[in-house]
Amino acid sequence: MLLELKQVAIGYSQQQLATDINIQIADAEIVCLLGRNGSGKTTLLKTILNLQAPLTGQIYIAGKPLSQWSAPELAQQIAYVPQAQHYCFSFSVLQMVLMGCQARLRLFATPSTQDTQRAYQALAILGIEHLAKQQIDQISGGERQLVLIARALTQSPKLLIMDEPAASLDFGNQIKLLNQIQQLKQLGIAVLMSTHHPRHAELVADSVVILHKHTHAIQGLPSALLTALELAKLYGVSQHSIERHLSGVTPPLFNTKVLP
Amino acid sequence: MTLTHIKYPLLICVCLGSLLLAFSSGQYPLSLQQQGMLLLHFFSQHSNDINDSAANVFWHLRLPRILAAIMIGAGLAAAGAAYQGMFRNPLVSPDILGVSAGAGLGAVLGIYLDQSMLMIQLLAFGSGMLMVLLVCAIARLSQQRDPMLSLVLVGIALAALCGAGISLIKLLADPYSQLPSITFWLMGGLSGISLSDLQATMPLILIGLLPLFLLRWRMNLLSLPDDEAKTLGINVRQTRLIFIASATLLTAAAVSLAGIVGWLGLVVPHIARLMAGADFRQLLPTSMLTGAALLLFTDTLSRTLVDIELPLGILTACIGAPFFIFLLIRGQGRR
Amino acid sequence: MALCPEKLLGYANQNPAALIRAGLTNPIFDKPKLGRLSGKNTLLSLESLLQLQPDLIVDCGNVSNTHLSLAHRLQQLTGINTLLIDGNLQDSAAQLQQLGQVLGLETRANILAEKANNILNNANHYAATHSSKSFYFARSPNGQQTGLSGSIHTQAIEVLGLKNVAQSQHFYGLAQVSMEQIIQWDPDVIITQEPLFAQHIQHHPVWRSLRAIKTNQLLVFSNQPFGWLDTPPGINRLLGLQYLQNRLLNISPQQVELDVQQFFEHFYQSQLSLPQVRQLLAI
Repeated sequence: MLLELKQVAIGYSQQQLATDINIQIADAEIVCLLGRNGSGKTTLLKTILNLQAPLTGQIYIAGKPLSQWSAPELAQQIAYVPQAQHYCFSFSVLQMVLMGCQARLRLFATPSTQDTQRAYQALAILGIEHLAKQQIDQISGGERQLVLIARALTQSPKLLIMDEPAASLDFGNQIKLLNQIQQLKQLGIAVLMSTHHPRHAELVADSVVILHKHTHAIQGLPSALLTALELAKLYGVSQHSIERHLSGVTPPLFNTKVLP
Repeated sequence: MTLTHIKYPLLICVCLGSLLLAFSSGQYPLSLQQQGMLLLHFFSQHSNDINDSAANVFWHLRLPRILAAIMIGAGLAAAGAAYQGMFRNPLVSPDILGVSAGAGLGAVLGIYLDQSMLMIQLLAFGSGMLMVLLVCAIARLSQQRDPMLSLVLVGIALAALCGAGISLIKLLADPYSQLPSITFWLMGGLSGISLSDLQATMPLILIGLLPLFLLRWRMNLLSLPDDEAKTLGINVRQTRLIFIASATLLTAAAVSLAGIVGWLGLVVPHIARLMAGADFRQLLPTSMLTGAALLLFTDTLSRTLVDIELPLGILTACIGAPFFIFLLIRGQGRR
Repeated sequence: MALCPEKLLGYANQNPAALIRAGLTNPIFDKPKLGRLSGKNTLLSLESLLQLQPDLIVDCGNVSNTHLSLAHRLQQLTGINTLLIDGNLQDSAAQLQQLGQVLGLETRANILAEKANNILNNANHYAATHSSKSFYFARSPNGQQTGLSGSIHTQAIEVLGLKNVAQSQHFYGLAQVSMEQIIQWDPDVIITQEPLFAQHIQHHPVWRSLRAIKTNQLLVFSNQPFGWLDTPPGINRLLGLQYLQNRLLNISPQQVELDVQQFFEHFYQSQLSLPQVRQLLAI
């Protein structure tokens, strides 16, 4: 098993966010993480990335406890794709992607031509080679998100962790992103992504984790967990309105007053 | 791409230009030819047929001063670039953690206690380093989630305390002899630099520059948000400590020799970033060259503009502040 | 202070305890350091001033609008008479007499005024009859701080007709100058009252290459009990002025020592032994 969480509780010393988290991710598996705002999705991802310690429980990466991995070793197992954001200094896209090489570099080394080639390959996989010389703050949000995925690929990880990768993208870019994520599966890379769209999970996920605030998390097949009943429980809205939204044939707005 | 290709030769021309200007100007008339001869004689071990006082001016005054300007300019600029990267903020200067304030307090105390120049420099250097150590130690105790923010805040607080200490000593100092010396020191200047000062400071500056150079690639990662940098596989805390220590060493060494030379460490990395981009691998050498050229030029102005020495701090502020405002106005779209 | 130390309540900047212990100063000068009063950096609070119950506040120095208004305000706030005296060196005698009148000490004031006048007249005479040498006044431990021509810091030297090499059209008062400039000025004499500077140049090849140093024309002045030439700009400068003139005229050491002894006796009411005088002069 690539990633395994056993009885993990997450949160901060003053505040527990979720307990009883049991997750398993196999190679080349796409897992979507769903949960309400503030339920601890980001905290869970950070805990898996070893950015903060779990309150209780064990996390194993490739069978080895998380705490025993050194930072560079871990970086070659798990890569993080943060939400595309504003950067203070305008690096070029290529420089940004090259930073993914860090884990393999010796202490005083700088990226070699091989590393540059690898970076170009990653850009090519995502189809954004033409952006290489552009400044990171001069490309669109969607492109920036792809650049961050390219950087993660340069780490040649076995697992990509994405924090709401679709959050700031337009409709077209969301579809492109989901396609790219499925393409990663072909490359043998597992993905754990948090999302607010059950639809996205339905489209790409092999398995779904639902995080219930303060209580527990359950992992299961999309077909089992992405039902109107489960989602209604999760988000605290009526089952009916969920069915209406997920059916794909949303009635025109002026009809809404007829509905309860 | 073509623009970047012209930029470096241009920068090197500017550096050489300010070097020649520095060598060829000064109150004592000394032609470049004469200076070349002096250098030649030194290397060929010939007997000296150029008069003594020219040799004195060259070896003991102009050369040390030019070397000091280059060294301090490069050092402050490198420290500024490192601090700006680390703090992920282009408005940060090397003074951010209170080095200058600490060094200022040390030097002022030295002047107040009627110490020799050497002792004043030592006090300045020591208290500058001590101040940053103190800032780091206190910041570790703080409850702030963001370690950089607490560093900055503690730095501001301690710098204010040092400022109060300086004011207090100014109040107690003899207004006829000590007070003017304090004022001159706080405005910065390279007028008293001797070869032995250089011998003491040069190694410190080189020691400070070495880690910055060796770890120049890692500086890029450090300028990302902490979480991102960590997941890319570097030990953020450790690396940052090394950078803070080196940049502080550079600043403290520079300040103890030259007094407080403001603005340089803030403005030069900006100019360098316009030329070389954000990548620290290019930014570091570009900053160093630009800083050296700028301080050399400013110091040449300070010793030749009028018949007395104009304090460096005044000139760097006069050049730096308007330029900075220009960058702020112009940079709105870019950032 | 020179006139009537018994009426003095305290000092603005000095603390004479060490000097008294060394026997250089009469114990009647043992007064506390109270702190500066005039100007912005006032160390002595007005309330503690009132507690001391002085009859008169004397401020000697620049008479500018700022100082005048400050003196007015001080007088209004405290109800204590405030006397502002122009501190020009050439007017030393008049200052003493004026203060003597106010304090009712005309006799002593007149004696001191006469002494002061003697010193100044001698100096003026010297200035008129001797060719003027050029000088550089070195301040601060590295000697690169100087008083510009016409400043109160070099006034005592300039009274003797010596020419200050540090002339600047645009600047007044104190300035930092470069070594190259000093070499270029090539002064006949270098004058200092900074002991650290005198030490500093022993090992400094550039200073030692200067003509004035080579020809042994470095004149070091004591800064006890006050600076002899400067710091503060008061009648203490008469002592330095007199000594400088003696040195320039190559007067016999006995006479030089006697003059110093007498000055201390008259102005500071302190009896110095010959070894003490030599100790002051040896600096």
